[in-house]
Amino acid sequence: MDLYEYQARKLLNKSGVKVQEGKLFERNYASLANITQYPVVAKAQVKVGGRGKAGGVKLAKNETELDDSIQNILHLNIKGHQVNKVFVVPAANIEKEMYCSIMYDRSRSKYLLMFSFEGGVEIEELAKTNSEAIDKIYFNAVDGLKETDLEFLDNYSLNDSLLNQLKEAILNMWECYQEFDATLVEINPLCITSDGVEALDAKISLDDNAKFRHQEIFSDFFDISVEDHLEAKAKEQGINYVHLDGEIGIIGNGAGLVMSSLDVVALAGRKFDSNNPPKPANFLDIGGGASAEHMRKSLELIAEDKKVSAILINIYGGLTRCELVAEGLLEALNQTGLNLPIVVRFDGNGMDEGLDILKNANKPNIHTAEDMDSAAKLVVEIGRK
Amino acid sequence: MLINKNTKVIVQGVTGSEGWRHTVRMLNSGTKVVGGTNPKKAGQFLEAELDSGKIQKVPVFGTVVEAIENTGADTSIIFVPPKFAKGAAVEAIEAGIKLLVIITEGIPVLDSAYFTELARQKGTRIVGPNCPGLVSFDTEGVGSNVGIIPDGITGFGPIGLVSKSGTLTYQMLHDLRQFGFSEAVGIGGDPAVGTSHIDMIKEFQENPDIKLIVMIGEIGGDAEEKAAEYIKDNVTKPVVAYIAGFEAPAGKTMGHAGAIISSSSGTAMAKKEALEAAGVKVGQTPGETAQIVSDILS
Repeated sequence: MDLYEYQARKLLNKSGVKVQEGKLFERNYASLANITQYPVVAKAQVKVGGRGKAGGVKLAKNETELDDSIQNILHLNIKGHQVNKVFVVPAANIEKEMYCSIMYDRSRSKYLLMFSFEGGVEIEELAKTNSEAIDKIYFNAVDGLKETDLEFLDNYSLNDSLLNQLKEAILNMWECYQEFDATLVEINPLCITSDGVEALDAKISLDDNAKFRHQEIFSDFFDISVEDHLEAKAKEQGINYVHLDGEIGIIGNGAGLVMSSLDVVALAGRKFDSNNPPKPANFLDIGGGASAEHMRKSLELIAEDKKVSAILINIYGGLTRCELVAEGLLEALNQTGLNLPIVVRFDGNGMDEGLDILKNANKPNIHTAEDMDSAAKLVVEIGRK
Repeated sequence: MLINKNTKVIVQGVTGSEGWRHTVRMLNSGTKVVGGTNPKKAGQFLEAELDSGKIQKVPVFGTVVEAIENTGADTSIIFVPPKFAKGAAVEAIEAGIKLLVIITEGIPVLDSAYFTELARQKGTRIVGPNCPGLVSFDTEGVGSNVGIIPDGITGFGPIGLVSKSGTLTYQMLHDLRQFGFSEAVGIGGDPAVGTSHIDMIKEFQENPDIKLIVMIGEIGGDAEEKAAEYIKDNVTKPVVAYIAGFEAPAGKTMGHAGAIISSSSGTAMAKKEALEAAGVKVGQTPGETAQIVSDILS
């Protein structure tokens, strides 16, 4: 889960990284009376970069200016993200902007600490224009980040007090990363202000797999208003679903096979109509879920997307035999009365039995195909009929 | 080969429903499962009714150390829920297990990053987590099946397979069943895994039974690009690849925790191009991939 800046600040603060306290304003805010000190900065809360350039960050010297700023920002749509929240913090007296982030580097199987004494710009940009300005420190997951890993900072011209504050802030970032099961902790800019070393902006992503350790944070920080309606519903029902923008619904078993199904359908779609190709409408991994219940929920979810004109069910019968999937499918169809055309491709264990069950059921909207490629071809044709 | 018919396996989580179901299945396929662990049920014997009608007793030990002392096991397979996976993995590594297969899906990255690193430091090979395990074949049939890969799809032959995906592994074993396999290894689709494509490709290059290598990748990370570099410089056997996830949008996790395109890296196209530049033939669909292999081996 990606967090908003104001949420990230809360977690950093809990881990001992210095952040200014601020106030959050939503669409229906009543007054600005609780802001007593000016100037302040009003910042759009969106889970996407580049809000500064889009006019999502404004300085206000008094209540009237702040009211204007908040109203303006609440009207913004930044790269497809509607702004619904504005965070207001006292303007800081910035002496130096730096960059710091921690993430797991999959290709080296180590954690990566990135630091730049030249912060304030996008790190991707800096990596292109001045990659030497980025320090990269790799550390292993057993030992964690140690103070000795931060000795490189001694090379920068900072007085002892600031140097120690900086090291402490970075060690606390690592605390925050571990404490809350982050997958990214990024502070940009990490600043030297008249108050010392503090974080002026922050980006944190939390590991969804670690939700069981952080139930409260996940429920407090989850913002359903910015979630895709169908994806939110899927999450609630325990269905592994990603909403895409095409018209062919996809159900398969196993993440790899479902991803592969999307590709094969898209390929068939381009062959069918290169100008306006039919595309996959979703990713849905039904896992070992042969049960009628799971199949029914999955079909209903896909059918709720009104763009969907046909559905491909692509199953490799491994531990879950195809005939069980066939029975589950028929029961689900009887329960829902769903009559969208469905193309079924079975392979592996119970393939023949499963296909027989479907054939004998004599459902006009169920079609079968021998392999993935022909199933994809059939489903895009039927979907466009 | 990571496993063969002499591999002695213990099951951590043997008393859970998944753990027990697969213990019986592994025994049926001929794997030497010599015990399991559960501190609360130490001293008990579980009875597996095999397809042959034989009843096989599986002893339960309190700890991995005890299990090793009593059985001489060198391999462990973990079926415990995500919450307990780190504890189970650390226990097995500290006990000196040589090969640790972790099936559990949904382990926090902080935990898997920790135990995969500990394993590297202590000399334990981890396969997984979030993987289907591995199967090896020999001239007599199944050598050993440690994981959840279904039996009876294929037998011994000249192919070595390494894959991030479970079902695509089964699909490929099925599509190429007429040729057969020496070893098929599902390395898992998580961000932190114990075994990489390169680790297995290196093994396959050295294995004289293997004439052709199939690798299955998917979006996320740069393991496939790294493998491409490795293949270019070190592999003389033909390599055929399949990559899933061309249609995946950036920033969305596609089922596997590691299957996510971040900013510009991890795309299927970048992986395909890197592999092709290294001389690897890449199929557009699983069917086409199998056809390429078939053309080479026929």
